[in-house]
Amino acid sequence: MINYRTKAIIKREVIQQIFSKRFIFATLSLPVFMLIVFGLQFLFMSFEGGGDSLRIFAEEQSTLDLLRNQLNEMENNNPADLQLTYQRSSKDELEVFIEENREAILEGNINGVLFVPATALEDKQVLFYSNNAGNQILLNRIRTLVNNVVINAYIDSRNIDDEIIEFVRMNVSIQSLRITDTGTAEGDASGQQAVAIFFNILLYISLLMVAAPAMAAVNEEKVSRIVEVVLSSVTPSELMAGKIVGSAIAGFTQMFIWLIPVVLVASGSVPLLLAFSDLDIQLGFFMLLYFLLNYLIGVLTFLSIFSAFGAMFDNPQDAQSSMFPVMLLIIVPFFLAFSVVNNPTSILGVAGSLLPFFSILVMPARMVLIDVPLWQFAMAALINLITLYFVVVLCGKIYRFTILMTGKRPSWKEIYKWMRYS
Amino acid sequence: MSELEVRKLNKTFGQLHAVKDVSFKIPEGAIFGLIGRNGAGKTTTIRMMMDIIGPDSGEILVDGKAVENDFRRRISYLPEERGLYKKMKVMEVLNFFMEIKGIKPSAVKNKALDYLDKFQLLDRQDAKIEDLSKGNQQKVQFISAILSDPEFIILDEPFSGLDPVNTDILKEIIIDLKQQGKMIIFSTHLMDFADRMCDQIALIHKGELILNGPLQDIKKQFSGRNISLVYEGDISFLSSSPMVETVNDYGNATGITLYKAEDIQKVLRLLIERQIVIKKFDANEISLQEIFLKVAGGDD
Repeated sequence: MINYRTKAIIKREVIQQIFSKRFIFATLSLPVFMLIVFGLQFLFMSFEGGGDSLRIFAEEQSTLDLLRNQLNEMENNNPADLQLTYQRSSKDELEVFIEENREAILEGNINGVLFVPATALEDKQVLFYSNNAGNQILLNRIRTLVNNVVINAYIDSRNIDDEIIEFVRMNVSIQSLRITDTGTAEGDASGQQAVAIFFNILLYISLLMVAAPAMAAVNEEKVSRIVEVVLSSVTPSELMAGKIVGSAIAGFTQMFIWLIPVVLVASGSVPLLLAFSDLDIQLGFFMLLYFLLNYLIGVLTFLSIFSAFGAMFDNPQDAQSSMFPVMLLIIVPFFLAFSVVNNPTSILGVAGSLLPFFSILVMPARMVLIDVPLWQFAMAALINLITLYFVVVLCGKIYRFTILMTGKRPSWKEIYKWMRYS
Repeated sequence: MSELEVRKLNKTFGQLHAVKDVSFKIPEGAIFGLIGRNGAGKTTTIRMMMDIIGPDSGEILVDGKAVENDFRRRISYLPEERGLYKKMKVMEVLNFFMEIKGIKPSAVKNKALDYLDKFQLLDRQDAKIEDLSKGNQQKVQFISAILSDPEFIILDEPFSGLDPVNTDILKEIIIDLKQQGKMIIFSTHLMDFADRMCDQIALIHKGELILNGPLQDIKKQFSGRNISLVYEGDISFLSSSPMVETVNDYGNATGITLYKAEDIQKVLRLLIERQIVIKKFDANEISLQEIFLKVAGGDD
């Protein structure tokens, strides 16, 4: 099948794609883009509510001391977060303070004034003054602390044992343990979830980025009549095979490059970036191998379909507008894979990872989250290969039949007929 | 050097019988014209000859044997509608077309440079195709068609879009290729070029072969009752003459077909009597254009 003619077409496709500005830009920019997105998310999380100036008032000195201790402790964990000042005062003194500092509050120089009256030990009612009473970020941060302080002050007033106080204050900690084939692994699933999401996005972007331009290229060859010249030297099957394999090699190269940072992070070979410092990522050789082979089968499948669509139509607009049903074969599994990230053992997840077309996106997301049984891997691979075989045969027929055909836009009925009889 | 034969080719697209039992032979070293109106079936016939599409029935033979896989190495095609990869450079395009013929680009580099020089494109060898004029793109495509040294060259309207200088260069190269023993097949509806360059023709009309053979034999067949006249004066009276079947008048040159060959002398006499200035009177001459109009020009 791969003779010198097909090799020449593969070579041209690979060179034209890999050395194109679009390919180089996409290959380099995607990891940078994703790092920026994660980094910005981290940055926003770090700085949300940051720099707030908060004035704390309490009627009781003991309450004020407890608040100072709690808030200082929080400050030590998150330095330069809140600017806090503490003052013992009565309600009347507080009102005077607010009146005198109304302008500073309105301008945002003072973000909030918290007042804990003596009655708080009875009714848990505290007052918060601000120009933005809906500042939920700030309120959420101090609510738990103030609650703890009020509880502590209340318990202190009742002479209850410190051990009991400590136990009451302690939150329940749920340790996530993952059962694997080889044992029980400690660790947080968020690292694996991040990888699952990353794999899903990579597959989605790459399949579209490789297959859609291939469709445009086939269509351009048809419209510009290059195909007629090329077909005088090669058969339609050789041309289609060369284009698909060439594009798949380019896509595979791109995917390989995109995976390098993930592998380096997973192997601990590079200091983790700030955003990923808490993530526990485990990626085995088998997972990477399956991911790459799965991608290769997927990209060949979608390249065949997209190429056939490129061959069917006389202009790019018609080709693109008829692609919607095929695009659903990528878009729906993409969203399904996202839902699988939250529950990889669900029926939907298992079914999705074994369905033709869906498996290409869903299985990689599942396999990084749970230990997928080997039979499921084998079944998914077999289903993907069988799907690829039928897609290549059918799309090859359509391509051969339509690449030189011009005239009216074909109907779905005609397309079905070509698949049956050509 | 080989003989190419098309035998009983048939091709149907839906209800349309595009090519009906077309057969012709092209002797080695000939310049062959496949002529016909638009949509006559020329391109479909060529595509079947190139094995781009398969015939419903019939076969293509080289030296009496059905063509084999390596035929694609031996044949080149310049389609009417030009197309090249626009983002590729001139030399890259030529190299690519050699590679799909199984030829190492390095083996034909000097030849490629010679052709580029002949077509005054040597300084554009590193230019992208999209940066070339249409005429220059056409020249690159022509070079890509002949660079592999094919035995059979199919040229579909090779002169369309070329200026007179480049048309002359192309004609010289085609004649040179003929002298090298290449078989050149023109597909054209421009009868003037076919008339001047072809040794043999096949005329396809509505999918059927209606004329086939050496051009001179075909002309003889049609020229017995025909007069080629170059003149000055008013010859409108000829149209109403009972001796004259048709007059294809172009102002000062015309083709006249008579009902009977014996009336040729009477027509000459008539022209002299009417004081028509006769610059050329050829009783055995008929243009391919006239033949074409006679056999394929009547109905749509």
